Amino acid sequence: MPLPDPRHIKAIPQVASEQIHAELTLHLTPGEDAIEELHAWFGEWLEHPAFALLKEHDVFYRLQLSLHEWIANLVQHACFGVAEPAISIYVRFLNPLKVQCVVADNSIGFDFDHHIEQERDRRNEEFFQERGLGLLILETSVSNLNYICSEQGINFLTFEISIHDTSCLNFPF
Amino acid sequence: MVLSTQWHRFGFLSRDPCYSPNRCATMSFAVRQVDPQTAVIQVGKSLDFRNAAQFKQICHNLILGGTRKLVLNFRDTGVLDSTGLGAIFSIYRQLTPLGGQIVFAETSRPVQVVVQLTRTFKVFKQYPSVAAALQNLQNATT
Repeated sequence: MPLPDPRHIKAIPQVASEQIHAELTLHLTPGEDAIEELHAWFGEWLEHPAFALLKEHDVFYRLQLSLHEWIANLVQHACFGVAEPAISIYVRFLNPLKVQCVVADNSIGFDFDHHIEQERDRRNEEFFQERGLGLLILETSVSNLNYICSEQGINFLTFEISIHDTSCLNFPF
Repeated sequence: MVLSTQWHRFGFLSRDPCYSPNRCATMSFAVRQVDPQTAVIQVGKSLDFRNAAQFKQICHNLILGGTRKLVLNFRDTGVLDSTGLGAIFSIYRQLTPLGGQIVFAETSRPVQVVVQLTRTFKVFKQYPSVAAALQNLQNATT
């Protein structure tokens, strides 16, 4: 099933077009190259003067980390069934310093809440855990994180990042 | 282990079906044995789920050879993800019972974001340069 245009997804708050500073879209085919493509895409934008302030406040790097964790998760663990695997990333840069992001994919999906709860339990039980940190890092990097499996067989991850996000993971070091 | 102050580069080999010159440069590690107990690992463009196992193997071999102090140089690193961080945790768990240490040097901005987010600065000391890290490690032993 082709992925819908992520700009029209109701899961993210709709904003007036004059508030949108820039919009970027990337389509990926799941596989190891997807990560290369993602970072090449970031590399293109990283030096763009329009994003200098986002870089200065680390919003850009948090976005890069969040998307890396999610795409890595899809590449390593997602089951795409019979559908032709596809991932779409849509990033909307809002003034003054806020980013909204949607990642759509056509995998079978998973129970996000159950998995992240498992990661939280492991963090509390195990010092310096080696595995199961990805969703926790994603959750900590962003705000308003939502994962929705639609009835049409498309999954949406939505989140926001702003310069005011200062959360930290609380490992029991 | 043969001691050397030369850099030894570990990366994808040409017989690897996934080999490409770009990926080799991206995913490699360079190791310099400074003294019998100390090594510097220059992390390439990324330490993530694609090369974390290789990183662990390199560190494991160094520890088997007697290395107890590791300096991880993140000057060129654009990606440190949860699997990469997990690999560092794994090495930390191996080293600490042996009285060893891991420290970070020249931490790039993207890596610094991960360090701050996970508050791992509480565990892994950070230094502005490899020289400063080595100096500090040496002072700690004397």
